[in-house]
Amino acid sequence: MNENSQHFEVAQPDAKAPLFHAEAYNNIEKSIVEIQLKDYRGKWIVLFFYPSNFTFV
Amino acid sequence: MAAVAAVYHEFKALNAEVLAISTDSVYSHKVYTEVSKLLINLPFLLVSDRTHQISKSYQVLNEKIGASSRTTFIIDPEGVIAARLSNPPDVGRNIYEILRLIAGIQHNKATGEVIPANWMPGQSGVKRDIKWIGRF
Repeated sequence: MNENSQHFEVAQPDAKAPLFHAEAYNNIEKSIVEIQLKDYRGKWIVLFFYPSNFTFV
Repeated sequence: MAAVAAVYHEFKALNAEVLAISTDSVYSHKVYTEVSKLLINLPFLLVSDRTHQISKSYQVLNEKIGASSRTTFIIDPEGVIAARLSNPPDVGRNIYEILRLIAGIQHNKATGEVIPANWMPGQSGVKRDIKWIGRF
């Protein structure tokens, strides 16, 4: 345990999903867009973290 | 990624949006969709986690290689993590299992029924009742 441990939430079921904003590539519009996770409230979201482009998911 | 794109309509049918995230740049993401024939019509966003902040906050960053580990999160409409699935680096995901899991979580939320092992969408769940203990 360290002094920060009480502020640390493990990203597992029942925890709040950490919010983020980031650049993304939109292949439908062929554009670079800015997205925020909180803009997706009201929908289910599936995050697919993957190691690298050009590999399988 | 093509495996997800192939059943993207099934995610939409569950009111689910897909975000794929790696530590590659958006420029790499663009070329990835252009070079890989199966991704020409990729219907969802490829998110760039160049700063590693997203991967760190979800505790999926492999710091040795600066890349995200093969991990899937299902987030409910209120912004709460409903499921987390980790795959080994050399074994790809079962996309149908992710769809099944969303359907199972939604069925549980809608009915209060719990979801037994190997449940499939369309089947009923199990009422919480002491008489069922030990039967599954």
